[in-house]
Amino acid sequence: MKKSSHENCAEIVGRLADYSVGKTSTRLRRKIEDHIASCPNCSRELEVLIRTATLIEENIPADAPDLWNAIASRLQTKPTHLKTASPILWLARHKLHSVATGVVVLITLGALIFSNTQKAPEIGSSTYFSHHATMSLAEPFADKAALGLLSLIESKQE
Amino acid sequence: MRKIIVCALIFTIFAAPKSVLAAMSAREIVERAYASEKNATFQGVMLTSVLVNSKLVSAKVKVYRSHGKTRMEYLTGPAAGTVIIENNNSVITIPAKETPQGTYLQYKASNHLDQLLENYTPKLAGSQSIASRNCYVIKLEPRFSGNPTSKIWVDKGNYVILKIDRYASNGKLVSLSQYANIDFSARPPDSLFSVPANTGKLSARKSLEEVHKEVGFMPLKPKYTPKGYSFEGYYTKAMPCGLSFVALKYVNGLNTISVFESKCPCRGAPCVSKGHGRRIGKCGGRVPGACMLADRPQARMFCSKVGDIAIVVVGDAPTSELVKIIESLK
Repeated sequence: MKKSSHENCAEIVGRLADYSVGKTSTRLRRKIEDHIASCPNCSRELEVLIRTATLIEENIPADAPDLWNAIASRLQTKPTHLKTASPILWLARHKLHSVATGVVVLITLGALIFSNTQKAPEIGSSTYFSHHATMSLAEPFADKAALGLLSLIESKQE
Repeated sequence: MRKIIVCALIFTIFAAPKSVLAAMSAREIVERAYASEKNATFQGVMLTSVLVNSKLVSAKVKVYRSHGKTRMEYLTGPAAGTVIIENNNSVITIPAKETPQGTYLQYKASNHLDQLLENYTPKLAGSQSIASRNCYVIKLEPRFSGNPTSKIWVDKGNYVILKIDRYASNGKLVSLSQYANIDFSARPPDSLFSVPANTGKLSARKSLEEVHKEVGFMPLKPKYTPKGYSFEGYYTKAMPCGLSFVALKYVNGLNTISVFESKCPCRGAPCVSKGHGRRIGKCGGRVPGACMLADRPQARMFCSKVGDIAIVVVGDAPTSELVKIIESLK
């Protein structure tokens, strides 16, 4: 059964980042190219990805021979450069994922800050001493008046 | 030679019973005092003092007693206005005015006299007048060292205890209470001992199943208890966060050791791990496996953690004994 255009777009957009850096298989590359040819939305998405990657490349300082040497060295040692792509490139390629991740991080941080500012009920040593004194009070030959007073003093400190 | 043996025998027959009689008398006085706790009827005014932060805090207390029921009205001091009623195996605390609901502790009626006499030796220490009445002075000396002791003044006429001095395990006097005046002809009405309707039932002796259901975990029971102590029961109490802790009560007839267990959801609860808020207080001293959180004249408090259960042990016993209790839970 043939997938609808919308379903195809979702699948193709998810693969565009890989396609833009040549990571896809021949079969998938043909499929993406066929789709892009007939889909202006996905075509625009691909353009944005390529432009972002270009901008990042242009902004890398030219007078950084060490950096270039390092990149060149890594490219040579690992032809499948996609696996060693920098986080910035990864973010550029996975725009939707990046936004979603950011939102999740913000919500988590917010929840943590909020929970820390919420005052949990207090329970201190006086609670235990007070209860201990009350339990002791029930014993025969206990100094009931003194233990009662002690329990009350401790419970006031709770 | 025969004469010497006969003389020795005569001396033994006449001298020995005197010491036996004295020991028995003290024991008998204690037994009668124990019985009078349940039978006596009177009213009087008592002066009580407890050691709090190295200072004596005192209060004048009006006491009503009728057949085992007691009502104590605190007339002066930091608890002025508060009433404590002991009735039908329950201790009910009714605060002055600031809180509408009092506290309630329901315990099991048990005879601890045998245990008391097993763990303490009563010794007659003379006679003295208290509230214009002649009293026996009895010292309760512990058979096992490291336990607190008491001195009681027992009315020679009706065996009611008119004065109690309590000494901590280190020998320091930590509380004293005595009647300033007492009226044995008074007949306090039953209404004085009734429990107000709005009193919450906050703590009660419960079965293991009930405790498990309430606190949400199976309480740990120490494999070690100091000599002379026995398990009295489980008690639960609601914490401010809505959950409950369980208290395991151990007694030796005169002294109590409490083992509190909780899942520490409250701030300030004795959680040892991170992420559960701060501890009860600064660790006052570390011993292997436990941390001393408080050292009061009447008891010391140690805490530790077993799995996700926070343990607090409170009692007046040597540090080594309290820590052994904690260690035996692990």
